[in-house]
Amino acid sequence: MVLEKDILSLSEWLLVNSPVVLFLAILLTALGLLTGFLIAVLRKGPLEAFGIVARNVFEGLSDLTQLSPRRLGAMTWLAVQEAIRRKILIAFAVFVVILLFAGWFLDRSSEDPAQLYISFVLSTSNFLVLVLGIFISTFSLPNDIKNRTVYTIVTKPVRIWEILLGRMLGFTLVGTMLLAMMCGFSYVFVVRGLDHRHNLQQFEAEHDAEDTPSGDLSPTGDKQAAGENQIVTEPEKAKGLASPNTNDGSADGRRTTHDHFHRHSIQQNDDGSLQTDFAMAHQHSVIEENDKFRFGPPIGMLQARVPVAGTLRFKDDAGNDAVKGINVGSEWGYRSYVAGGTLAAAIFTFDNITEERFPRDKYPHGLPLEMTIRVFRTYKGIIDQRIQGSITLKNPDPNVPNEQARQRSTPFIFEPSEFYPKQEAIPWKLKLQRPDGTTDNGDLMKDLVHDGKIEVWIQCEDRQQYFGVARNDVYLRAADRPFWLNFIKSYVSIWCQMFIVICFGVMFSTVLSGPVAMLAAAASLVMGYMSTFVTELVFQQVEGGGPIEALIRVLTQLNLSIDLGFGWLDSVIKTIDWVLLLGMRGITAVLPNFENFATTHIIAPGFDIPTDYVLQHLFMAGAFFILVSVAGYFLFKSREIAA
Amino acid sequence: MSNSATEPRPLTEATPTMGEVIVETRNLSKVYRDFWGRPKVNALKALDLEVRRGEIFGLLGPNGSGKTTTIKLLLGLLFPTSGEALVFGEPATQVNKNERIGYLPEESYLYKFLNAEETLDFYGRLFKMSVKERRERIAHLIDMVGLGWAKRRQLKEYSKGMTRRIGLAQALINDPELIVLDEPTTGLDPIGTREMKDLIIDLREQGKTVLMCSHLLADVQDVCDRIAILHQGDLKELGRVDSLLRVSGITQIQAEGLNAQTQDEIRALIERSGAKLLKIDNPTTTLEDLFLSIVQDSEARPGRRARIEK
Repeated sequence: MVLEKDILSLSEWLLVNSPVVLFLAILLTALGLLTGFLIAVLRKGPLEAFGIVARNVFEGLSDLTQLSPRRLGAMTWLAVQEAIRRKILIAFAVFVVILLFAGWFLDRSSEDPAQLYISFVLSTSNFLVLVLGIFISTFSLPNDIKNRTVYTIVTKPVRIWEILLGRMLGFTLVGTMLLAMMCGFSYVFVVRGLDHRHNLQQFEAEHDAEDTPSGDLSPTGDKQAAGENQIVTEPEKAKGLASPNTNDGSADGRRTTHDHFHRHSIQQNDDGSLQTDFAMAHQHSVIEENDKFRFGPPIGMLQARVPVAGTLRFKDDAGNDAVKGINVGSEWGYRSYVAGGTLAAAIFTFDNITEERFPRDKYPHGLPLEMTIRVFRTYKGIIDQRIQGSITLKNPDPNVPNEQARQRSTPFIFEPSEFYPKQEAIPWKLKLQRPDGTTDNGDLMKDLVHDGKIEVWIQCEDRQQYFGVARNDVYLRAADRPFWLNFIKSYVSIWCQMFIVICFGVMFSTVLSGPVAMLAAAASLVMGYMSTFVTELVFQQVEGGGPIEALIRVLTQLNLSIDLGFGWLDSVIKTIDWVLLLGMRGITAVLPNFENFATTHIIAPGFDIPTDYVLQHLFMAGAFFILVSVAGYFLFKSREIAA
Repeated sequence: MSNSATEPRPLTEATPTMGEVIVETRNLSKVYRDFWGRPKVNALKALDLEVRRGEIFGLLGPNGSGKTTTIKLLLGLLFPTSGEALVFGEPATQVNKNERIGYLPEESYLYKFLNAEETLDFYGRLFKMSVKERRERIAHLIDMVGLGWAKRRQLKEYSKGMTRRIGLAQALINDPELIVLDEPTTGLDPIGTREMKDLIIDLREQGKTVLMCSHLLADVQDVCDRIAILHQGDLKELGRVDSLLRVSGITQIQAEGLNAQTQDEIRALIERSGAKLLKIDNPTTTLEDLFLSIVQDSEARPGRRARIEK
């Protein structure tokens, strides 16, 4: 799972963000009061202005205390009726049509079709529901004002809060209904779309080497000397009935038919049961009845693994501590690389390793370590041979300052999986490497865990080849959650975005006409999605310059590395751009950063979306709801309805 | 409307002029400005008036005279440029006053996607009343405005007159003390107009205060106790309708059953007294009354054709 920003626990997140939110709230309140004061000065003069501002603030608070659930319910009901009778459910029909034809365009032959399917349905739902949110929220109030239906509302004892909140809640209710339908439909689409069965294809001489499943990795290699530890890889849990005559490790060379762009080999487990190997990130259970094989549904395709990440540090080629590994030239600095055949290592320290958390009866194969290791090759090597690495576990006992003298296991040799996580269960009983070079039998929990901590050293064994790692690439698979629950969590995050967009739409519609409010809401959405990019532009972390420079470069097709070439005008353009960028940064600072609501990168590769993460989204939605409601209230209050 | 009456009703003589002030404007002015804040129209100039409990007060004036602006200021739909607009003693921008107000806008600005029942239910929920009370009130009002047969139809299918009726019903949903009617007879046929005027008078008899504006002089004359005449934002005249319309120096005698001889004697008497006789003739009815009596007669005796005089 690529996770560029760590997901904090809710308490940590609140601790970090509360002061920022508080500061922004105070700043915006001060700015709002100042703006209101200046407008009042212009209209009524400085003497009355202060009283007007004070009275409005007091009335705002007073109106809030007089908010009536009955009236709010009526306004919400009206918004729901309006949305439904304006046939917004057509959006759902559009969604269904898109899904019906999606099968034509989704590449089902991809390495992990589940990722593709999940990303597709989430992106489509997200896009549709946000566009819909903008449409329904921005036209309602301006239409009421234009048609003067609002006259019959504001002449009733309805508070502005109720008009605003009624619309926000009403449209959100309709959006929620729509989203719930999309969620259910998408779930069925993903599950049914990925569901498939195979039939048995009897071994025939024609089966070619290309069909050899990529997930069938042998843990043994040249470097695996006698007495070394062996980790249990996922495919290896099912030991193939390796016939000397077959090179695919399958049960008597038996394999499945080639359906849905792939086939599997059949393997036998320790207990004699059968299953297929991993292909396209899944396997199947196999039941043999009267010499006939029956294949179960795909297993492992739709998962919600709960990863427990550790901390990451590095050793350089000489075995000295390093902040980072080597940059192999990739612009994306997410992964750091360690050089093969040297003392360089990526060291993961995991916390809270206890028998209670990882009971041996639940994890019979050992500590459930999973990893995705990126490989950077400086030479091609032997084309059908994978780069090998080693895992060494160390006891991080601080009482033994010399790391070399600490208790450690003998190295486990493994072959990395580059694009989807592979489980490398570390056996509970393992060989220990004594400082004097001798080996001994040991127990992982007893000998290598200190104070709940354990260190996992990962090294590349092949010279001049490199392993790329990031903190979240290696983790302990603590549990699995139901996929449907994960799917719902993802939709909750989409719901939060929709809610924010609707709140913004309603706020803009209090002072702007429908089309302009729609543009403003759409611009907020785009700016919200580009928040990080704008920040990077301001701090010159990315090339491109400001809006004027970019426009000139687009029109003149001028490369980014070449000066504009307008002489002294260059600096004028850059100064204006800097001011514009600063303004854009200011705007993005108060707009929601919609990138923070993304969950696809977690759910699509099969990871559980932490509940705290979803709660953070709900908190963000709540904070923006308050901010936008207050702004909307005063904007609407300052407006002459009949003017 | 259920209590339709065809006979013109006399104005109540005992109109309060010293009752509680319900609506008050003090030096109320409104200037409409353009986008840049420059004055565009001086719509209302220093208006001072009072509307007292239990009276029907009419704002009269040609288009653009400031009638609707005054009403919008009193409802808080506009903010005064200067001066004050008070309703029930509170500034017009206060929302609480709306509990006691019913407002029928110039055109019935209602949600077209709702039906009559839904419309009244929605507006009813904006007031503090129990579900039972609301239901009873909705049934009563729908019956009162004669829309029982179309209460399940969406308002977009309503004719202008029907929309006007349901608009009136929504204005009365909260049994208001003050009813503000902006051009109440617009869009109504003569029968509807008469029913509306009857209803306005009924409301006064129930102790309600009615503030209406119209440019239809007959409407105002028929129902209003007091009127204010506005022109170009200025208050030109304010007072009781009967006082304002009274022509001093001319005496009108109406009698029934006078024969020609008696009429001659009256003429002689007037001449002897040195006064000048202006006119003795039979009064004509109004076109409205004629129309209403024809419709009533047609309903009583369907199929009767008009006798064309040659």
